[in-house]
Amino acid sequence: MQKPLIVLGWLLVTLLLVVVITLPISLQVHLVTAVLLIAAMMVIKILRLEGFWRLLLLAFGTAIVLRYAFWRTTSTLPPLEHWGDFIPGFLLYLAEMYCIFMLGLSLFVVSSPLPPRKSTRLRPDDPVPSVDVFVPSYNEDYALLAATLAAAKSMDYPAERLTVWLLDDGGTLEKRNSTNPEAAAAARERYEQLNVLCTDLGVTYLTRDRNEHAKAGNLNNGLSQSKGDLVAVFDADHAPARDFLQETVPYFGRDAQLFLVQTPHFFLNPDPLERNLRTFETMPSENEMFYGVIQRGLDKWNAAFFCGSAALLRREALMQGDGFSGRSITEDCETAIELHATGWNSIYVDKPLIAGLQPATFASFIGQRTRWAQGMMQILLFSFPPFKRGLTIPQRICYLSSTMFWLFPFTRMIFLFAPFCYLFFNLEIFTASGGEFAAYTMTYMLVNLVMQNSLFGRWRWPWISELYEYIQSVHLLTALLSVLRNPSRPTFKVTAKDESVDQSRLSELARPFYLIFLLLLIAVAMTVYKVITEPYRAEITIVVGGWNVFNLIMAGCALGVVSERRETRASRRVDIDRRCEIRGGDGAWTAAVISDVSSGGLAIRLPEGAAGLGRGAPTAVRFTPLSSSEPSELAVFIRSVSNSGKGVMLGCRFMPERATDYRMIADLLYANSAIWQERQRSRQINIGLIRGTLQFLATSVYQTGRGLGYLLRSSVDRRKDAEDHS
Amino acid sequence: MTIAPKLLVAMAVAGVLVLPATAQQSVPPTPFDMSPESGLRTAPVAPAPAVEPAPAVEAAPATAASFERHIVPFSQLQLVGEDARQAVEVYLTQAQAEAPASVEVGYLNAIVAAPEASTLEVTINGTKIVSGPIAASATTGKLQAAIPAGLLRAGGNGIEFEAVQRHRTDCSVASTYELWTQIDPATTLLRFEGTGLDRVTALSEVAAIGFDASAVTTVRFIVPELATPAVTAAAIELVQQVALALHVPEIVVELDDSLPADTPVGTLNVVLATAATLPSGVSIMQPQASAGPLAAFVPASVAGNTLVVSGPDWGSITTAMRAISAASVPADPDLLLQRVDLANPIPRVTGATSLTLSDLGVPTIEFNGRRYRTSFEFALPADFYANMYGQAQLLLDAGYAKAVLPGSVLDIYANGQIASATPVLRTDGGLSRATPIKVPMTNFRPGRNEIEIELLLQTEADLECAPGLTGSAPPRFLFSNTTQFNIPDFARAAALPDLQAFAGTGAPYDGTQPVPLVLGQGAQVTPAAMTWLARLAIASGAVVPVTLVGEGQLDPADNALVVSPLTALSDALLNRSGVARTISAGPGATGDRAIVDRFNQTVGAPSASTLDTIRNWVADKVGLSPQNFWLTRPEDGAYLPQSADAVVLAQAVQPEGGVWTFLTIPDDKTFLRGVQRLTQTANWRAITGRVSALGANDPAVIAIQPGGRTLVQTQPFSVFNLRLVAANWLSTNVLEFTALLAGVTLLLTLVTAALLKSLGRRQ
Repeated sequence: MQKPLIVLGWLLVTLLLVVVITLPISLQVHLVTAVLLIAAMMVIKILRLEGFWRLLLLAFGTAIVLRYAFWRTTSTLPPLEHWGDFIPGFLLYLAEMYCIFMLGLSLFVVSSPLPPRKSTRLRPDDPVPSVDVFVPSYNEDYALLAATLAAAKSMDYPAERLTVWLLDDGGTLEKRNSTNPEAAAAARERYEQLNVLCTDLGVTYLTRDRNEHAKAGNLNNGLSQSKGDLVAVFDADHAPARDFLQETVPYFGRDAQLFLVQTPHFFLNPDPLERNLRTFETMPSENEMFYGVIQRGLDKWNAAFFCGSAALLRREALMQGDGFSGRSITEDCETAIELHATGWNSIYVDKPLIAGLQPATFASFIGQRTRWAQGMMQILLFSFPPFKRGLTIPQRICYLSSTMFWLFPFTRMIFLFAPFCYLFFNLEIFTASGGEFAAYTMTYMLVNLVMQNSLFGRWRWPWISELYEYIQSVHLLTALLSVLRNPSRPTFKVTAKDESVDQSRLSELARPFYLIFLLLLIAVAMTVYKVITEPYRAEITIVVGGWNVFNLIMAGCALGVVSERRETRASRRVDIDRRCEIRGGDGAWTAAVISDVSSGGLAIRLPEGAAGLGRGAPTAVRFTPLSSSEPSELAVFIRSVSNSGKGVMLGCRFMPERATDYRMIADLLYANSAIWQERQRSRQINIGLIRGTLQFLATSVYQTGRGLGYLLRSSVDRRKDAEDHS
Repeated sequence: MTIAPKLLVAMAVAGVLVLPATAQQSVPPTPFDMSPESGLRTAPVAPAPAVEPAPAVEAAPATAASFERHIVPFSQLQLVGEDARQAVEVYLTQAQAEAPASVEVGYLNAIVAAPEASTLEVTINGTKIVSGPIAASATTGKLQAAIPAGLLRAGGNGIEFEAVQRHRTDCSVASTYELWTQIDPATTLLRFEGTGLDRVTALSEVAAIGFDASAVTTVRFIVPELATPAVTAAAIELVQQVALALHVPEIVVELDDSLPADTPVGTLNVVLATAATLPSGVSIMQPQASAGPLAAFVPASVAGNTLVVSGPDWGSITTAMRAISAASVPADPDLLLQRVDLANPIPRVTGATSLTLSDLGVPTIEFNGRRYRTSFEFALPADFYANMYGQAQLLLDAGYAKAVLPGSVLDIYANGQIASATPVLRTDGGLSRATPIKVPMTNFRPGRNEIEIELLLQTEADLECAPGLTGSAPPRFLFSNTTQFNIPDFARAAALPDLQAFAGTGAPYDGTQPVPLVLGQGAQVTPAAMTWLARLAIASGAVVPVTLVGEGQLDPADNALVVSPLTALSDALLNRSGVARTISAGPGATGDRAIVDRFNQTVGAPSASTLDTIRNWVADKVGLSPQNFWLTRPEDGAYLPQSADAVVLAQAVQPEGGVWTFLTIPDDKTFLRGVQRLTQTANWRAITGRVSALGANDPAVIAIQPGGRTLVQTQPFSVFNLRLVAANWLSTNVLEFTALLAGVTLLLTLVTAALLKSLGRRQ
């Protein structure tokens, strides 16, 4: 009864606000008002007020942004008659309006993110649905699959209700009978090896005849062969924690219409940006903003969507449609939108329950993002969310936000090149005086920063979003254009996760970044030249030149991103403290502690000396896995011995031979999800606008230098190569 | 008898051709001009006028064989700059238009103007009549030329003076301000050959009275029964009608008991009396006046140009007066009434309007100087209320030669105040169409508005300034009169008190119903009131009828006018006026506090609190006044006149709702002179605020703005107008807008919080 009243009231007040905001008041009044409101926002922010006050801060910000939008629309567009100004001017206007629109959508999405749900377990009297675990694979290697499958198999769930499937698309009949004899042989070998692995681990190996419909087709094949009540999907590099099913299955008992429980993707290794800028240990990862706040926001509106992995789905829901949808190349989101549209619900559990790998190189990172961008664009085109029947209005808004987000390459590129219109071509694409610029644009930008920081500050540091968008935009722009030209053309490409950068080098995609940087530098020179030779319009030149310098800072930072640092280890170490025993040189078991572990090996601390072990010695570690009460052995190879204050540290590499070894490794690496959460929390600190900006500036200066250094080195190398060849 | 006039007219026409000197004399004194007012009942055939035609011929004053008509309606006219123009309107009688005529211009110019490159040109009705080099820096120079027959017409004639001036040696923009040519009003004239050409004979030709050598038009009233209030009211109405019919900016009103013997140039005698009380000088009109309403010029034989408004009784006189109003009906209701000093069309703008400059008398011009200036005018309604937020737009069609350096500036002035300064950035040689330039409406005002466009050109050649360059430089700039000036829809509401709107349009006295007028005791009160209200009628373009009432009859809920010396005002009325009897030491003081404040300011005493300091600083930084940051409106203190001879115009909104406008002065003896000075165009246009005062020795009007204004609805309610009114009000009251926006946002936050609680998932 009350709800329609509140909605009506909200609409009325919104109308009133629009009326007030669209009053054509004078510049001075806007300036004074904006400054006063910004001051109020600052107070709220500095006092770290939450709840109602956070909403008030956002509302004040929205008011100023909308006033800017009104002014921008009504008095800054170049006249239509001057089409040379108008066309680029209108593009810039559209780009800005897109940003404001997206801000509006994300405000809705994250207006009140659901607080993380309480940790849950299956209670003794709860029904225990049968679960099929799908691990789809295309070309991932044996060790990676072994680790994931072992981890999946070790999940805390009644064994008779749990079936783990390896859905191998790398060993299909089509591939094994490939006309290319080498490829056919590789496929056959893979098929045989994995069959053995699966048998050893107690996993069901499944492949199919033809590679149709990519990942969705593979998953649907799995669906057709299995019959569990619930289906868990883990990418080949996403190893689940022991408590994955315990944390997710109970929700299906509570809501018969629930089709999806999505959990965050947690990564053990840095993405190229994090690795090359060395921010992995300190700064929240890129995807933490999505999983830390946006999915929680979507969850509020029953619009949390399937992200392809780390999720549990209800078979009944999937079967009601045609299984996993495969029209777009992001089958996950597409499946979710279809099921949401038929009345099914989803929830999001904000606790990292899988650990995965990021693409290691910039090129594969871009490859992954290309797929996401193209797929989301296909969804935007095929099932335009605002008019998608069956969705609730909030869901429509949420999906619009999720898909339209991927248009950012257009706006980024427009913002990048817009200053050139003035600096190089003397176009007047934004008609405003210096005073107007200060009163409207400056306050708008400041408000935008404050709002972004207050919405996402814990998960995203200032300017990092812009940097991520910029580094993707350069290559995504053409990918998006190709979708627009032919929406059904893009095909699914699997992202490589097992690469490593074994020597420092420039990414193969680096060239455009250097070209853009050069252009921006020329534009800076042009700015100086214009200021000196055209003093009568120095004011506007400085404003536009300042914007260009901002772009330069961004582009300089990006040079660092595309300059790949050498890194041998595929994944970073995770600190754990686990008691174990190690077999000493004399064959006797000595008590020790496993201090950290990575996917390749572990470090062992021996309090009482090296126990006769030296570098290069093969030995074994014995500990009790969390999944059983019996201790087991794991073969390792000692790579280093060092003395620390608290004893001797042994650096060991895994020597997995049997399936049980993988189970042991998985137990060390993945069993305890609490560690991952701890790690994320340690990075999720809002460092504030000022510190964030200064830090970004410093990073940019350093990375620009590093990027230019790499360029120099690579050209020297190339010359040397050329000389060597000749 | 009935055919006599016709016959005489035929003779007269023949006479013009054959014998001009006598022909004019034989024209019968037209008893009644009926042409403008068809509804006017008149004596069908006047027996009296033709009574003594013969003596009239003999008694006619010895008119000169030529008649000089002054044409510069300003006490001085200076053409400054490289290309300066001034258009004036000259009203002629039919006889004058038909007579052989020549034009004479007396001028004096700055010594720095190079004669070989400077030209003065006179254009009449669009035809170039004469031009000559500007070369009279020592003694008054003269230009003269015959005007081709048929060029002049009865009624208004446009005459334009254009001075193209170039400096002898200097190529800087600054030097262009040293270039001036003064047109001498006394020796600049039209000369008509013929006799009796000074006579104005028809009501439709009243404007041909013109003005004297110092551009003054005097109207002498002979009203025997002036002491009667109804007659005073009639005289006041009549003076307004006459002022409008004269098409002059202001008139000097004199009251006389009898018809003066001599009527100089630029003077009109007006006799207002019933037939029975007609003064002896015009008794010749008595028979006609007794017969019915009469509004006519007396025959030349009787007196100089004298208008008799009469009738058997006051009712018929009222009827007769309407005939005069008809003489000043504007030709185009969308334009302001044309005046001798306003020759160019001035459109009335009441909402979104696009004005093309070619329609406003602005020429297309190719220019090779360094400072180009042109201007145009338009009129805004009394309830224009968009000065704080609005922006008009100039869509400039102009071309620049490649020689023009970027960095040249285009300035736009609104009513003399700079409104925008735009650097010229594109000088690629071609004509650039519709370049938009924003013009804030800050200095726009109700009534007539003047927009000036000034372009300061910079070129390499000017920097070098080779000898002879100023005269021979190639064209640099083309200004096209296809340029448009766009005024958006603007807020319409009256914000009272507002003397600017009063002086500009007569608001809130719109003439729809008679306004109660209180005349205080004093010898000069009536002529002062007549002078003032004549100026008001000129400003509003229409007669504002009045009814004389006593102070006690005033209804505070109604609008009213009060003309009285301060000494004759009762305390009660004085309290309502916002003016005090005390004379203050310095200018512009209001109330005791103001004196203290001013003293503090003068001696630099710290009077402001920290908050005030911040407020003043912010106001200064953003270009507003501290008043815009007031949350409460201070009471207006009573204005203390700055001197005994200071005419004080004060407007006050009565608590009951009426708007009362007071014209007063401490010292009654200087009242008329003071009012005459106040009504001069320059002073009249400076009137603003709630009090405007002008002392005999003040160089300019002192204006006091009200602490707060009362908004009064003037238009039928519409959401659209309300929005614009709100925009202007909130632009005037900055903190109120902040509070409003923050308040609505807070409200939105509250509803949103409630909405978020009731919508979506909760946990």
